Amino acid sequence: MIEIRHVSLWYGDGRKVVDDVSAQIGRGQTVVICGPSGSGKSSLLRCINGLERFQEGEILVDGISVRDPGTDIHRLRAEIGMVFQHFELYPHLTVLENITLAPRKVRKKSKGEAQDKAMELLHRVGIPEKALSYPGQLSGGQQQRVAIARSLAMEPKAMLFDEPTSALDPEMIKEVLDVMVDLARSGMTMVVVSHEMGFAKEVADEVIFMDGGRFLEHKRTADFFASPENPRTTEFLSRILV
Amino acid sequence: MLYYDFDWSVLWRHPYGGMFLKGIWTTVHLSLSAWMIALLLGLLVGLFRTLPIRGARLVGGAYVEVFRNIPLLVQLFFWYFAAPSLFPRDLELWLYGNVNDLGYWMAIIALGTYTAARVAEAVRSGLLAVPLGQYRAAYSTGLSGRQTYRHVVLPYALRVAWPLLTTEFLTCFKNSALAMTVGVLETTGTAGYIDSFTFHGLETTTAASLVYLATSGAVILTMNRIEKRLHIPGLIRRGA
Amino acid sequence: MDWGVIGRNLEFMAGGLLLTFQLAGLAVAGGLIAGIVLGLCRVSSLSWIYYPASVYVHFFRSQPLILVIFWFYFLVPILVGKPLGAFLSTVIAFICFESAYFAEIVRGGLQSVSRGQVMAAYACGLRTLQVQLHVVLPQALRNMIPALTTQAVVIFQDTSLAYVIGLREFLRRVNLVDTREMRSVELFLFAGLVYLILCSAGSQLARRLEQRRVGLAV
Repeated sequence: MIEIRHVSLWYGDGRKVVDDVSAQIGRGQTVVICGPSGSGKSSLLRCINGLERFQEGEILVDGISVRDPGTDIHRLRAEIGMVFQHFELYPHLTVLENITLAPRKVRKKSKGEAQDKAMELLHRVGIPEKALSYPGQLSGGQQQRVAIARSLAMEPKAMLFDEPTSALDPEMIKEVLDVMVDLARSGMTMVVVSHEMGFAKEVADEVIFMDGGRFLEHKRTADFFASPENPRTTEFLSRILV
Repeated sequence: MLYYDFDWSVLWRHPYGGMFLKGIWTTVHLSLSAWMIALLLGLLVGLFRTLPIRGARLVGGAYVEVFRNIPLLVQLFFWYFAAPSLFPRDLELWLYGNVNDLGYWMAIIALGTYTAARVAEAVRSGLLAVPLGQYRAAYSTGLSGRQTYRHVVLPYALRVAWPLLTTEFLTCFKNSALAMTVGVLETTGTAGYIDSFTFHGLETTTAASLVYLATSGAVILTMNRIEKRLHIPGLIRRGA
Repeated sequence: MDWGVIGRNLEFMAGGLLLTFQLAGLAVAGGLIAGIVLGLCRVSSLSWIYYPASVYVHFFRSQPLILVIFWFYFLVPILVGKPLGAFLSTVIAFICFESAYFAEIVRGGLQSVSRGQVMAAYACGLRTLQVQLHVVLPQALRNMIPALTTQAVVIFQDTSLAYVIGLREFLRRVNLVDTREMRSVELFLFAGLVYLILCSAGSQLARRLEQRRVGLAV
């Protein structure tokens, strides 16, 4: 489903952010990427849907190259949902309008059809009553659930989560994770950058530890927690699992 | 205090009353026409200044630098006195032969292109206030560049720029008074014009002042009302 | 094109530029002083100070400068009983007009100083005016320097409007040369270039000051 082949990414100032990483993520799999801040996790995630351009390597989504100039990147992005650390709901649109914008403009759905789907999704994330509210009137947890619904409205083949809970107050983390757990169990292909190890243990098929732009540890979930090989992984885990 | 014989009737007495009303009307359509140019051109230049294309940014930056740093009056004189002779000879002759209110049209061009530079700055500040995450969110749902600007970036940016745009509109309105220097009888010009017949400049300038005061008040009230309607709960107003 | 026209009349036009600088200098100095007083009034909690100052500021900000210049040309002679001459009446018009704009910059600057500073000053036993003059205003002025520089550039451009009452500043003189020599393109391009160079330098300075200010704040 998502194939990452020897991807490297530099920033303009010559800093190497992602350093020759490779991975294969199968259909329906959930992969959690963890690691210290600045380790390149978010940049890698953005490479997958072409929000960031990488200089070396290749990323294939369903066999289609992200990097190939011949690829219609907008169409590819429509197939991959993305959820951001700071939600990034459009502040000038209502919840319903946030969710229906892309289906109507990109998928050319009718307003009614898009709204039906949006309401169904709002039920699924548990806040149908907020449909006509503006993002600014919602709590962080509610905003993030709307953001997930917004991505799902495009009926994506895969979902990318960029630290979806790290900007949330502790009491709101669970409501977002619950939605994500449901999603993972329903068979969605997911790449999740997160430090929520409880979530990883519960639904992830594989866990990756990333530091300095490299994958230092990449294992099946059970093995990752039971027998990490790299000392940095152990150290990192001991620090965040306290 | 010098003795001064007030005669307020110059404001409504025939033929001055009609002149005065015509002057106000001229101010209105002159400044609105210029504002249209300013808005369209300013939006474009402001957009240029934020695009990730070096050439576009340079062109936008140069436009703003030139049009903001030369007094409007100099620009107006340039358009009125100098520009026609730079046109092809046929066009120049046609202009002088057929356009008898050349001052009016040149004032619209001068005021429009001048105000555009200021509008561009307002638009740019609005665009810069849009967080990078908004672009990413829009692109990640598959919206194209145009759709992203149309539905996400511009609505956000224009709300941020709104108070600045209101100010610029009023500046444009007031600046339209400069058109009197190229013979356009708008409000201020008419006040002076009536004075030249009646020597009652004090009354006519007072009246002109009140016109500007009332218009400013009305525009500010209307814009605030629109701003409230555009207001989004929870969106922090920046730059205000 | 005959660019010789510039050289032939350079001295005459430069004399106008000198007058332009004088007018701008007086307008900035006078406008700033009056603007500081007005600005302080605008943040006053006393309504009899606040309201008159606000009415003044709003009135002048709603007026075209060109009309204000006319006003003083007509009004002041009646008030003082004799004509003041173009230069003096223009200077007064500029100070009255620009002080309204300076007042708003000053107000913004005063409000940019944190509440904590004000409370700390009160806690030391200072009185309201002392707090403003010794604690708030000095900090505010430093924050305002870029905006004040920009306004000075605007005023420099505004001086060209003195043209309307016949004051022989730079633009007026360029215009006089034009009526004599009929070289509009060369002359107005030249005038534009002179203003562009001078005002660009001023704007550049304002930008540099702003960057330094932001740099210091972080």
